[in-house]
Amino acid sequence: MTTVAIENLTRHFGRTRALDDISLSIDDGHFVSFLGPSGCGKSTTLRVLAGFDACDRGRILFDGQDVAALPPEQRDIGMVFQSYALFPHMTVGQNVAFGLEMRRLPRDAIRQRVRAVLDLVHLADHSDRHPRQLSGGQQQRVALARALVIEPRILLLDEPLANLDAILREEMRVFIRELQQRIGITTIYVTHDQAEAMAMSDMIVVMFGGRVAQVAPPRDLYECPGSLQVASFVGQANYLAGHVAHDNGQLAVVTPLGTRPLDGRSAITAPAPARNILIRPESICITPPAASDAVPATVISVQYGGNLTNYVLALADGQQLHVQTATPPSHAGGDRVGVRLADAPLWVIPDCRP
Amino acid sequence: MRKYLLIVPAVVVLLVFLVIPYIDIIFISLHPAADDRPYGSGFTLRNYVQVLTDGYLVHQTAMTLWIGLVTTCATLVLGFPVAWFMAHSSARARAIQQGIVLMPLLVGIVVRSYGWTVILGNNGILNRLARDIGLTRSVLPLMYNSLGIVIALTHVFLPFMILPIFGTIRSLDPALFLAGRSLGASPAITMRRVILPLTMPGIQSGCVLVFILSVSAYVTPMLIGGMRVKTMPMTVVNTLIDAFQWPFGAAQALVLSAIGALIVLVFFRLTPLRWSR
Repeated sequence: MTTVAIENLTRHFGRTRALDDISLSIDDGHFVSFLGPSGCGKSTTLRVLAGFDACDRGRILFDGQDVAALPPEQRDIGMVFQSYALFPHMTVGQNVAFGLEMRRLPRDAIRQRVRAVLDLVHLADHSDRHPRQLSGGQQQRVALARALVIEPRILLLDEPLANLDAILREEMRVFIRELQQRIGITTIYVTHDQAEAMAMSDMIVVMFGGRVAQVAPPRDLYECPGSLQVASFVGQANYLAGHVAHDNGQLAVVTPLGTRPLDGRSAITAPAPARNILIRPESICITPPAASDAVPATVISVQYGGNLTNYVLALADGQQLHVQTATPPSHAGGDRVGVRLADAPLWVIPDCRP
Repeated sequence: MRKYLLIVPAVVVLLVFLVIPYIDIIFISLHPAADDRPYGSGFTLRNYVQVLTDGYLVHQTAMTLWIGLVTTCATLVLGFPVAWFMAHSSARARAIQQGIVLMPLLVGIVVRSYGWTVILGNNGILNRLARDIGLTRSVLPLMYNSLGIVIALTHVFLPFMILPIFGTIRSLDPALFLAGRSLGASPAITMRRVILPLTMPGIQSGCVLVFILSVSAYVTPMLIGGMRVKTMPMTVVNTLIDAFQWPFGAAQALVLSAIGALIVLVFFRLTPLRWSR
């Protein structure tokens, strides 16, 4: 199907650089999320890919063909908008048929394909309804069907779940991902929700200030963030000052909470002083205060989350730690406890001194 | 029930100053003329028969409606792009643009219409310009005809077309236009298939406003037409005030109103708001 390559994409809005030399390649059939805070350039990138915005410099290649000069209607894209942008004066069927009419398909073929795609999104019996008669989730699926029915080269999704409530959002995550994999369409997804990006993507592109901060699969992004900024944006993080030293012939990370092996994915090959060590909240265990190799700490607050419990603890030197356990709360604010690190390799944030 | 109290003042004003006078006009129009009074006694339909059979009046009515129609089309064609442009400007630019659009309304209609006589007159700016650059040797007939009236009315009533259309475009999701494009429709086709049907409520209000205002305009046609072209409102005023034929004038006014209302009705019928049902 389609590979996408972005080369040196740059876009200014007045004096501000909305996109600053973005380069990226996306494999055929991959689901790639652009993740970042608002104003980071992720939506602008999508608009430039769709052809709604021009770029000042750079190339956009679909299967090696430069489409940067083409208007949106000639790029053969399917786009789902945050507002869905369904045509309110047309029925669901007419909305979905619109793109096929533009491609001058025979009427029978249009009817067939509209029915097939509505089946795919479980809305076959809603064809004659108007968009406003549908729920948010249903409208979302119509928007998806309308974008997919034209069998576009790539599917672009601009925060499509932002207007749905939490339960529906989770459902739609699974639905969209499953649909995407079944069709095998190259998909670009823009979101500011890291959980969404992690759950759906083959690859995540983290953007800050118009630049690409890191491109990685979800697990690598979470476990091996390339910078402090990425580590903080993707999930919750604790940072401990530590250093890398030899330990029994291997490189190990020494932290105030104990020493653990260095993560094999790290580029560090020699002992290094004074680094920031990433400790995720779930890799800290709470122990009785007197347990061996435990460091004493005080519970500051407890937040019950059903399947998870979140604690904020303070070490003796005042540093606060976010800790997450999969057990119901067993401590209360003011309790004295011990903490130790889980038995897993540690990630040293590259080029970042405490 | 209490919420109806809110509309009582407006209803009273309309009743006293619009509905009752209208009923009075209908009443007058059904009476014969009299020499010593506004109208005589006894019921008659003669005034209406006279309006509908007098070749001169029929021609005048047709011309008045035609001027209204052309003015409406002209303001629509000129106004829609302006409304679209305004709706897609930044907030600050939009405030300035709205000011510019409304500015003509700050100048009285007499002054504005008189301004057009300066431009369109036989010795006006346009004619002099055309002569000076050798475009024509004779006088361009821009005034004292229906063309001049349409030009002036188009200018005077353009804001009434722009503002309602601007309002509806503003209320549309900007992504709709992009959605059409992403599905393979050119800007022109997206405009026709998506934007135009959705802005129909604004287009309808604008068209009805401009049409009604143009058909009943008095000052502008009088100044630009220079009494050589007479639209129905001028004839009605002549009949009422100069000739003192109240019943006949009332019938003229009512026939014009009725035909205007009929055209508005047909117009609403032809431009259905399918999606708002």
